[in-house]
Amino acid sequence: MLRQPKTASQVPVQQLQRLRKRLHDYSSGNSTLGTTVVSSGSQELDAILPGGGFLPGQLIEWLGEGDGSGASTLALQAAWQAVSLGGMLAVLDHAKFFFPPAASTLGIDLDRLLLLRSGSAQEEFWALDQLLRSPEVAATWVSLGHCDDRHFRRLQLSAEQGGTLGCLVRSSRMLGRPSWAHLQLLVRPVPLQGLVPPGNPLRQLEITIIRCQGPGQGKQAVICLPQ
Amino acid sequence: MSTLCIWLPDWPLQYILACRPELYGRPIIIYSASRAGSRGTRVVSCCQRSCQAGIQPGTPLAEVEANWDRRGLALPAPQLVPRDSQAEHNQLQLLAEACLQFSPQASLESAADIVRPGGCQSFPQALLLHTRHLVPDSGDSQRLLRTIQDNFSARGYQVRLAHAGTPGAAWALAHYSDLSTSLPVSIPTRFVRLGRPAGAWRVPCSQTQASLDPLPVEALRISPQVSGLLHQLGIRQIGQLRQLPRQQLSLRFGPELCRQLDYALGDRQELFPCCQPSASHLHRQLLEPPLVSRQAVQQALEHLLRQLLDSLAGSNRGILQLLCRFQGERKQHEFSLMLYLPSVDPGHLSSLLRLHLEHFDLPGQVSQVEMEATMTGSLERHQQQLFSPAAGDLSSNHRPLPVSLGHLLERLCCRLEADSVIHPRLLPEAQPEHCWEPSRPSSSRRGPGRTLAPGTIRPLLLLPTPRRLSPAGSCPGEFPRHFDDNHRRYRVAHHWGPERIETGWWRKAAVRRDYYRVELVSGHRFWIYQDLYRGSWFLHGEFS
Repeated sequence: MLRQPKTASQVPVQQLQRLRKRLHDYSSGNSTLGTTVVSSGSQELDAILPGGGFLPGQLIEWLGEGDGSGASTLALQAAWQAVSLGGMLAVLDHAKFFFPPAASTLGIDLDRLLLLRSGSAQEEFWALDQLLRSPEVAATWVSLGHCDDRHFRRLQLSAEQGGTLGCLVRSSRMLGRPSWAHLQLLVRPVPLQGLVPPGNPLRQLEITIIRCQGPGQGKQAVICLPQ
Repeated sequence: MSTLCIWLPDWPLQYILACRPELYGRPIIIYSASRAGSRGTRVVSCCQRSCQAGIQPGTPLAEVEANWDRRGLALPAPQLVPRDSQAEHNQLQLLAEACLQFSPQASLESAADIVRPGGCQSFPQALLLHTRHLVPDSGDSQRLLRTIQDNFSARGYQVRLAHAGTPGAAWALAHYSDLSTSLPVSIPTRFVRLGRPAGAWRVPCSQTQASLDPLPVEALRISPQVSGLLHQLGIRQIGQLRQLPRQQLSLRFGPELCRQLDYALGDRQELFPCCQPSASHLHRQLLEPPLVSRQAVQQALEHLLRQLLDSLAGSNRGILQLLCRFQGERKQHEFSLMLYLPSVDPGHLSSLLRLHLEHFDLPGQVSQVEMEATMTGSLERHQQQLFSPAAGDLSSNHRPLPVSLGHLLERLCCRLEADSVIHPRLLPEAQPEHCWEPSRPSSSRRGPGRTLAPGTIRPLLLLPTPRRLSPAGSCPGEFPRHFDDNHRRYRVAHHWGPERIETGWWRKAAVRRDYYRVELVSGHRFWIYQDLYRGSWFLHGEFS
């Protein structure tokens, strides 16, 4: 039986309703990506994040203030939380600085970690796109330098398609540049004050939400980073 | 009739290592369900490291899982691999076919219950080649042995070869000869971890009897019952056996013993079937006029791929390794694709070829293209499990890789360099530069690996080459207040340490370092060390 063709007046109304709903979801921070919230690995950070955590398919930009800021560790910890849902953790290490034993001390199972050391920036972008697009990869961690608007948008679409959490570690110098990340977090180390205990003191980091979809922009939290 | 015997010791283990080279260096245990009448799964073959942990062929798998590493050798968890006897047999058949380049007649040994060094094994693991055109003591024979040795080494197999006047003598020498009498052979270092060393022997026809005399009676390919009986009577060597009257031997031990002795000595002719080459997985296309366009070469490859997949149709086998050769004006160029899972998916294979071809330096003019499936694997279909195995469950080691992840890895390996896609593996080493190694991503889940000692703190980013620092602002004997390097000044607010790392004396340069974690006044943390030999300071890592 042939379907009745839609009338000209019906089509725009349905399209408009659909677009209105998407716009509402976007502005309210509701998920168009998935429903399972992934913890960042820190209760204090979860408390200020819209939705109480990250969603698979999101791109998170971790802006670290200089070398040794702790942003990379925090991002890796969040990426590993996403792997608890299943899948692999991919680490894209163009600079060949990533030290897997440190990941192991954070409780990451190296059996589920895939390390990629691409040769050029072009290959790195291609590999990142492939990893974000793959449903078998739960999260991807990458230290990302310059990325133009068009490429960034492509990464965002790939992450949404694959449902992969993309943790992009970047320098705070990228602050203010156009970004397609769903969340932009600034990470600053907090210096220890007073008498410093010997042994293994916890490290404190100050996180500021620079940009997010929905409420929460400008919120701050101080978290303890496990060593 | 001179014969050359090629024995592949620990064949199930060698087969697995050839298919999955990433397993080299890990303890491997191959198990299979026991025969009817006995319970449980048992170990069929295991590597040298597993033997050190007290594992032997025949050990129940449950015992392995319960008692692994009770000797305190700090070995990583073993890789438990189920035995695929059909795939092993197919691969041995392929090797026999490959040996047709050395001899017009090659075959697998018969798979009767015979005693080999290491126990009674009823599956074939040796090849026999008729070499009637070659006398064993000629120079050609030695060259042939060397060529075969190199050929098998290149394929990833370790072999023991013997060339003798009869099939029985060649078999006996290959299995039971003493290594001190072997011809010089070059063995790749990775084979050292296998249990039985390689070797090559050749015995002139006139010396067959003399060479067999010192060998144990098991070298006659007799059943364990007959050899046990001979041992009870104190007959251990073939020389002792040969001095006994034949008629009485036959009466006491049955006809088998005399028949095998006759085969070995050449008193009776032994016949064995010759293998027939199966359908070739090599396809080629002549290009006239020669192609210069990359796109045209790609089309030619896709045409050959379709032919290759047609030849594989119905065999229930998929491509594991694909070799492509291009004939240029002066020389041949080639590349190979290694897959994680056997595939007959034309779209996937075609996309891999395209990815690889993008970065491959083609000759200016291609006059011929060849494509060969150099390794194939059975297309397995696994039953989906209702409950996923618990993490760390040893029995889950053979869980197959999801197809989509396998495809992703293959795409990444094709576009990037193959060694750019890695699984890190921790090593029992203290020096940061040597405490982990990259390994090829496995086609299955590995067991729980080594972990660092609790309380160990390491930076997430490690500089490939430590950067020299200039300390300043401190009295002698005090920790420096700040460090300078070419780019910046590090003002130290706090430091923790030292952690002494003194190791590597067996390498060219031993290290003696005191590592410190330092926090700068800004809160940033780094990992630095003082070289105790020279007193210099270096930045080695960032707690980034």
